[in-house]
Amino acid sequence: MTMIERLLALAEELAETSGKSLTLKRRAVSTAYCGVFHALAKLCTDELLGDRSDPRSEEYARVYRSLEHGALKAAFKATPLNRVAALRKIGNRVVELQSERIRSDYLPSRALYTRDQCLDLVNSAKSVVRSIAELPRLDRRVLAVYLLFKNRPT
Amino acid sequence: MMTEAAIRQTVSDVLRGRFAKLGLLNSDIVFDEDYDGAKIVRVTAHFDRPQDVGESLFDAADEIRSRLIEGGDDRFVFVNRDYPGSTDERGSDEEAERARTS
Repeated sequence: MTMIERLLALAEELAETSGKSLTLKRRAVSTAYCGVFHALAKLCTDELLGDRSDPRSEEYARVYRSLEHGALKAAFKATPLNRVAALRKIGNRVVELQSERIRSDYLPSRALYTRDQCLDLVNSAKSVVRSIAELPRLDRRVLAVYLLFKNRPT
Repeated sequence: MMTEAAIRQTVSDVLRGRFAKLGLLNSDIVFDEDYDGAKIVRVTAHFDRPQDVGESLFDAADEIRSRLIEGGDDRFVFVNRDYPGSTDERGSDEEAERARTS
């Protein structure tokens, strides 16, 4: 099981066993977003360095760590990521998970989700990761370029 | 940006098209701001019973957002759901944080 798969499995386990614990639901949502963010970071790195590059290398870590949460949201809001159907669909879900992750991590103690709402978000994260893995080559490249690099006038 | 009335109509059309036969009662729409101040559209779809519609909800959000983009509106759209009794599950067994007493 990869780290991303483990994160999503952990999120699902937290959601399913959350019972009346608002904390477990919040950790489930936060963990689910974490899995999605790693999937995007891996895609970006694989596209830039090639999927046979060494994950233990400094170069790999440098590219992997260059994906930023704020830039990710801005990129998904703009062209071309909001025009390509598969990427727009991924983007809307990623940004919702990111928004819920902020709420889960930083709001004062209070209930945020029902069990179903929590599980819906976790399942959405799993769906996003599947969709990322199934993207055609060109869409993967477009996604990586627009997530990693700022758009400047040409 | 699209008017609130136009967005309400779009949301209603999309949700009814997808969930009318699955117990959809109505929906609430909140024109909200995200954590960074960005404008977003939050939708809660109210069902008459628990339904396994999770995946379809997110597809509905994408369809609504797609229509907003066509209308020149770049807001993100988040759709969640509830049904009678679901909010009772929000009850928590966790204690409130304690105030300092000294």
